[in-house]
Amino acid sequence: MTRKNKEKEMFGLMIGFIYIVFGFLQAVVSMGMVTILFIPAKPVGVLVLFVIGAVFLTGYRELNKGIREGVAYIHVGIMLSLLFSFIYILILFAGALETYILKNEDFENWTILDGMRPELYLGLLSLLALFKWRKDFSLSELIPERRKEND
Amino acid sequence: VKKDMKKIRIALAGNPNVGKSTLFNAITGARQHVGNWPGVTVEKKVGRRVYKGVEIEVVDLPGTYSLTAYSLDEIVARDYIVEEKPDVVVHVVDASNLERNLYLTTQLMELGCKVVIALNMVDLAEKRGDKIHVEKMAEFLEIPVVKTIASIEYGVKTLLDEVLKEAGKGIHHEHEIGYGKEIEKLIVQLENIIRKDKKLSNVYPPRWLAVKLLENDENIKEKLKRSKIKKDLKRFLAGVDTEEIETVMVDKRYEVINAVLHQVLKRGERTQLTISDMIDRVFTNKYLGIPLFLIMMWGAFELTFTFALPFSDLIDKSFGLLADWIRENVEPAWLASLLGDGIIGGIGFVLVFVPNIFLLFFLLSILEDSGYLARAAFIMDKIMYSIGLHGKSFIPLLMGFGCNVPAIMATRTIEDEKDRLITILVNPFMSCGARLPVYLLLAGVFFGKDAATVIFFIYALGILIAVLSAKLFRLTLLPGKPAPFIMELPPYRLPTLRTSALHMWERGRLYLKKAGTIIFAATVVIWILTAFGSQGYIGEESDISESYAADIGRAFEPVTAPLGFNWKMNTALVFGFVAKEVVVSSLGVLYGSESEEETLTDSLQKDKDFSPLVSLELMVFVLVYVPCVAAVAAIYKETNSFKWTLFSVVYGLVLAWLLAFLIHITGGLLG
Repeated sequence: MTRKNKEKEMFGLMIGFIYIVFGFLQAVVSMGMVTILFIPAKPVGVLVLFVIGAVFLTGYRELNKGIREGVAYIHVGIMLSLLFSFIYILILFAGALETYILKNEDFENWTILDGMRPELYLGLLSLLALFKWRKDFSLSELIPERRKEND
Repeated sequence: VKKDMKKIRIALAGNPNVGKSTLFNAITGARQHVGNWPGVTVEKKVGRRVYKGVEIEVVDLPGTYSLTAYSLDEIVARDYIVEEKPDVVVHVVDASNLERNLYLTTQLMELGCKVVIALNMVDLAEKRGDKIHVEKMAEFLEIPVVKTIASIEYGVKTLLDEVLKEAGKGIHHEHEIGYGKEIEKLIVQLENIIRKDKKLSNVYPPRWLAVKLLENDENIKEKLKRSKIKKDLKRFLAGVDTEEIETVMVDKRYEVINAVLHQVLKRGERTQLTISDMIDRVFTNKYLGIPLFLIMMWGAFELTFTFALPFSDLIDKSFGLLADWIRENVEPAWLASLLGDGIIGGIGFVLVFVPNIFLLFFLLSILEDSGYLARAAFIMDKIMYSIGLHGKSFIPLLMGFGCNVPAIMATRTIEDEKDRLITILVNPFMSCGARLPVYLLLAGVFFGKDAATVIFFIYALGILIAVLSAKLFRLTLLPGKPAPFIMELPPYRLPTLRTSALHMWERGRLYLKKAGTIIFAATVVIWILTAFGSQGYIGEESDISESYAADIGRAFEPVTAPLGFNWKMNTALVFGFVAKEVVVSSLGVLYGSESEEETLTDSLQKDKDFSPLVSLELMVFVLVYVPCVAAVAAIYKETNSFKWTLFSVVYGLVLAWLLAFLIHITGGLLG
C-alpha cells in the first residue's frame, strides 16, 4: 500500500470514529438525558452522523484489508462531510438573516452559536483533508469539455 | 420559413440516457426537459430548424434499447420509423457504451431506413482513454458517423450536414445481417409468403417482417391479423421454434457488433478509479446505499424548509403590508374584503411558499441531473421487487415528489399491465409539491423548529403507505410477480447551475401558473362562499359561521368529528380537491376573515380546535386523501377505467380517515 493510502486509512479510522462518537452524543442529547454545548437535540442528525461515520469506517476497513478501492469511501466520505457542512452553513446564514435583518420574533434569542452542530464543524476536518489531498479530487471528468465544432 | 423551401423530416432514435433530448434541444433550440432518468422521453416531441435553406422537422422518439416490441416505447419508436418513414433517422449513440448501443443500430440497418450515427458523449469515452476510429466505423457500417457532445452543441452542424447529404441520396437498400444457413432459408420462405400481400410489403420491408415473425414479435403478429396471408403465415410458423431462433439472432447481431468494434475501438487501460467509480462504489453499496439515500433526501428537506424560511417570511410580510393597505384604502368595504382577505389572503398564503417549492425543485434537479437518482432507483430495486413493484416503478414514484400528474403518465414505460396499474394506484401517496405548502404552514405553526423533521416524516410516511398499499394490491387485487428489470446507470455529471435552474423554473412555473389561475378562481369562490349565506350577503363584520362555506364544512362534520376536525378544516379539505395548495389558501380566507390584525399563524394557534395533534392528523389526511382533480383525470386517462379511478379515490379517502383516526386515538392516549 502507498504511503498516501496509509494516511487515508488512518484518517478514515479517526474521522469515522469521531462521527460515530458525536452521533452517540447527539442521540443522548436528543433523548433529553443531557445537554451538551454545540450538540442539538436533532434525532435525524444522529442518522446523518452515523452514516457519514460508517462510510469512513468502511473505507478504513477495506484499506486495512489491502483493498485498494477502499479509498473511494474515504473520498466520498470527505465529500459527504463537506456537503452537510455546507448545508448547515446555509442554514446558519438563514438563521442570521431571520434574526438580524428580518427581526423575526421566533428568532429573538437566536445567536450564531445556536446554529452550531456536529455536521457543520466536523466538516472542518474534511476540509483539511481535501486541502491535503486536493490533487486526488479533480472533478474534471464530470464536466463536459469545451471544444470547437471543427477541431 | 418560405413556402417553397425544401422540407425534410428526421427522427432521433437511441437508447435512454444517451443525450437524445439534449441533442434535440441543440438542434431545435427548444426548451425541453433534459434529465438522467431512464425513460424520460415518453411522448413524441417535435421541433424545427432551418439549416442551409432546408426546413428540418425533428422528431424525438422514445428512448429504446432495441426495436422489439417489449414496451410501448419500442412500439411507438418502431411504428414511427416504419410507417411514417422519416427521411433520415439520426441514431444517437453513447460513445462510452458502444457495444450495447450498436445493437439498436443493427436493427435500424435491417429496417432499411437512412441512418446517420451521432456518436455522442465522445468526451467521456476519450477521457476514459477509449479511441474510436470514426472513419473506419462509418466504412464498416456503411453509415455516416459524426462525433458529437450535445451538451455543448459540439458536432451539431457537421451532423446536420451529413443528414442533408443522406436525405439527398437516392433509393436506400437495407443492410443485412447473416443469421446462418438454416435461419436464412426460413427468412426467404417467409419473405415469399409476405410478398403475396402487396399492400403489406409496400409498408414493411419483407425481410424485416420475416425476421420479426421469426422472433415471435407479438405486435407484428397482431398487425398481420387482417392480412390475407395470415393463414399461410400461421401454418408456416407453427412448425418453427421461434424462441430458439430469437436467441440465435441476438447472438448473431452481437457477433457483427463485436467484429466491428474489434476494428474501430481501442479501449483505454483503466488503472485508477475514476470519480464516477468511487461515487458508485459507495452510493450503490449493499448496506450503505439506502441510508445514504435517506440522508441525501433529508439534507434536501432540511434546506427546503430552513434555508428558504427567511425568503418566505419576506414574501409573507410584503403580502401582509399589501393586505393592510388595501383594507385601509379601498372602498367599498366588500371590495376591500374581497381583495384583502380573499385574493391577497388566499393567493398570498400560497405564494409565500414559492421559495420552498423552487428550492425543492432545484435540489431534486441537481440530484437528477448528476445521475444520482438513477442510482437511487438501482439500490431500491430489490426492495421494490420484494414489495411487489417493478424496479421501473421507482422513477415515476420519485417523480411524484414533484407532481403526480406527469408521474402517473411516466408509468407508460412499465411494460406489464399489473405492474403499471399498481404504480399508478400508489403514486398519489408520494407527496407532491402542491402538498408542501400545507405541511409548511401547519408544521411551521405547531412544531416550530422541529418542522423540518415533521415534514420529512410526513414524506417518509407517504413512501411507507405507497409501499404497503402496493404489497396489499399485489397480494389481493393484482396477484403475480413483477416482470424482470434491466436498469441503466448513466455516467455521473456535475450539474450546471444553468440547467438545474432551468429545470427548477420549468417545474416551478407550473406552481405559479396554478396560483394565477385555479387557485385564484378557487380563492374567489371561497371568499364568495364565506361572504354569502342563506340570508344573502353577510358582510365582513358578521359571523362567517353563517356562510355557505360553513354549511359545506358542517355537512361533513358527522364524518370528521371523530377526527377532531372543525367545519373550517372540512371546507378547506373539500376545496383541496381542486388543487392541494387550495387547502392553504382556503385556511387563509377562512381564518383571515375573523380578524384583520392577526396573522394566519396567530389565528390558527388561537383556534381551540387546532393543536399539534390535529395539525398532524390534518397533514396526514392531506397526504393520503383524494389526489387533486388533475391527478384523478390522469389516473382515468392512463388506466382507461372508471372502476380503477373510483377505487383510487375511495381507497385514498378511507385510508386517510383511518390513519387520522389512529393518530387521534394514539395521541389522545399519550396525552
